Amino acid sequence: MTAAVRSPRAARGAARRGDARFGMGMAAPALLVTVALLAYPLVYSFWVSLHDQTLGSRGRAEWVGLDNYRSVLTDPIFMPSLGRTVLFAAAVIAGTLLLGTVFALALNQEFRGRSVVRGVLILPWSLSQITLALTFGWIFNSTFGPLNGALKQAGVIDDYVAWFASGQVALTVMAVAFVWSLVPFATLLILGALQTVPEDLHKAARIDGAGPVRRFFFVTLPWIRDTVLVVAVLALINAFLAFALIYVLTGGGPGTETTLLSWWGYTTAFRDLDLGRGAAIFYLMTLAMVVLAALTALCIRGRSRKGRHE
Amino acid sequence: MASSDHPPARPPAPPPTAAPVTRRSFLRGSAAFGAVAGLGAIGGGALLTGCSSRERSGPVTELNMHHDAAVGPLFAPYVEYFNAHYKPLKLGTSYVAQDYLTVTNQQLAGGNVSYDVLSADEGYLESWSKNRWITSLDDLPGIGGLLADMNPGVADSLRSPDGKLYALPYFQGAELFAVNTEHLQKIGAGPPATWEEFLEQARELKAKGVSAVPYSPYWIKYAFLAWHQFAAECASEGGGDLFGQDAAPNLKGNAVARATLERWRTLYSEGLVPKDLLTTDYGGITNIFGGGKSSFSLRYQAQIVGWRDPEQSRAAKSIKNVLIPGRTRQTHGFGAHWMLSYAIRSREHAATAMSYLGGPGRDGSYHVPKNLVAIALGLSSGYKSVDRDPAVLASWAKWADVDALTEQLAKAVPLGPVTNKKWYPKFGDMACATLQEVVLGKKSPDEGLTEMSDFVAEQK
Repeated sequence: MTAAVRSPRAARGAARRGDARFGMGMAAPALLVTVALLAYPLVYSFWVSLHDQTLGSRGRAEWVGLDNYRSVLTDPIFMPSLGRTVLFAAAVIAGTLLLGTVFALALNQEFRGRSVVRGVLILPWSLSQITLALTFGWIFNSTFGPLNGALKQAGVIDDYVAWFASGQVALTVMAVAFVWSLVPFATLLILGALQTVPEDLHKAARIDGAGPVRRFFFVTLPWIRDTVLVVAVLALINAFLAFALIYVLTGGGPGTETTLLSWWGYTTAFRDLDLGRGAAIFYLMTLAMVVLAALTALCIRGRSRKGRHE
Repeated sequence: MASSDHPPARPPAPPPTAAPVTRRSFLRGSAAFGAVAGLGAIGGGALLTGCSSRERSGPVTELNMHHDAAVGPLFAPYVEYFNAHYKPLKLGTSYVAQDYLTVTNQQLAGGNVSYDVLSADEGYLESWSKNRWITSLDDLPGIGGLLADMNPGVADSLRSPDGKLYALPYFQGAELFAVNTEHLQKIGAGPPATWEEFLEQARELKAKGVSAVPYSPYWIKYAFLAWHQFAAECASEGGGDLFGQDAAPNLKGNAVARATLERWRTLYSEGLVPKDLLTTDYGGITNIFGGGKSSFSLRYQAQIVGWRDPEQSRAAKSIKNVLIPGRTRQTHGFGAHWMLSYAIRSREHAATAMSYLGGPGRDGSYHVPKNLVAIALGLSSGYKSVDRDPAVLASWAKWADVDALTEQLAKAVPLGPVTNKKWYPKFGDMACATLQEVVLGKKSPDEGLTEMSDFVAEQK
């Protein structure tokens, strides 16, 4: 009989536990799908990276342990490719953040036709990477590219420039193309964050005598820092995964001068059919991205905690 | 239903009863959902592992040929001919727009194949046969007679190391040297007989402003062309034996190979070839020579046919095939094959299509090898009876200096059994990148040759 008499506190606790279980039950299907879509490829690709496996071969995959990783890490292509990938990503992040912020600040102002400009701005983002690559390939073509034509007519150059003759210049052109395609998305995100900046903060800063530059660095930028970090991470991930531009414009050349990790992984896995080694390359890339994403998350969480304590 | 067809007016629907979602009702529903999702996951697993056992649909008389999209459309009248003369068989086409061999490799590996006959450059036969992606042709009707009719060395190139026949010839090509005669006349010169003479002429052509980039070779990675062109220039100096019969490399310390690479570096550093040559695509290089912007180029018969066509080339009238410069004037010979995929549904019907595309067909006329490969594309068909056909020789005279062509073809040197090795495509890819790095000065010729040699040793 005593069991039937529950204190109000115990009843509330039981209800909370029931709600928690119900909540978990509600989330379970989505969680299962997410785990299946994320965990399976991750585990499978890791398993492949530990085997000597030819793509499509009907022979059994042979266990090689960490040999594929050793082979990748000691390959003379690895370090230069990694360095190039990091530099490329840095250029893409810097360009995307800079231009994205500038455009967002401009679009945050009231002016006539602002909605039209916002609509037009989104166009580069909607282009497929292949279209983007073909467009930039045509613009920078050394024989009939309009850029060479314009520069020559303006008297800037005497002869047409072979932009893709040097790997460094080719990578720069590819970074420009990449930034061009990413800036609209960055602008939209940053613009959204800018619109949440309270006007009172600006008013107070103005009263304190802060000019536009100081207000940007001490009021606006701290407020939108989380969004800027998200944009940086997205740009970084996109830059690491750059593929179509290399595929269309340079094929990783001249030599291996524009070979980024993504291209090297592709050629290893799908041209050479060396799936084990290709998976090792992609896994190392994935790990690098996970580490960077984690660092970003830590940054954001640290700032939030600091904000709460303040 | 058209928007003007209004449905008859209905009484307003009763408001939905607000049935609360209880834990019990939800869990009951999710159990059913889970079962469905589980079944889906099993099917999805097959997709992810590429082990789909999907059968091709449609009647077995429907056949498909697989080719790259650049040349594939030229087959259209021949496909029509097949469909008109081989009823009830019906031949369809499957084209790949770019990077044909890589994409085809992926399709074969992924089990996503819906074609019976496929074309491929040399270099894939061993790996594809070992993976059982292609089927043996040893039981093809009349195969004995076909093999006897093939040009010397062709039959051997169609066999895997286990001795089984896996292909019929699609074409046999050779890297041919082409000059712009109008440019040479401007400097009062004839076609160069040696590479030293070629270099002098190139410098003069540039210095006198006749052509800004005198030589436009295909030192590109696409289809291992940089490697093919290297092999051709080595062969021209008597160094065509880059691999032995056992596929052992003869690259390290090879004086001819080193001299070839030194010449390539000179050409690049002096601006005698386009500066962005190494990243320009196939069409881009083709247009440089075809547009009259360079004086020399090197490519196979089908390309010269295009350059000699006024509709495709501004310099058509001035372009001429000549013997490649060099001590022995030999060049690199290569081939492409027709194979039967593992996805065939009727061996008899697929063999009929195979014989039509890569052989004499039912009527013994060699319709495709003769009319398309030999006459339209200007390539050797791989068959003696076709290549000696008066109609074929007459057609070659329309675009080629036939004496120079036949002399050059007689001096074509294949790389030999190495091209059928499983690792050859991987080597081709690596070799192209290494050759480009040597041209750029990132590696010395000796370093490049040693690297290629070591790579082969590692693969073997």
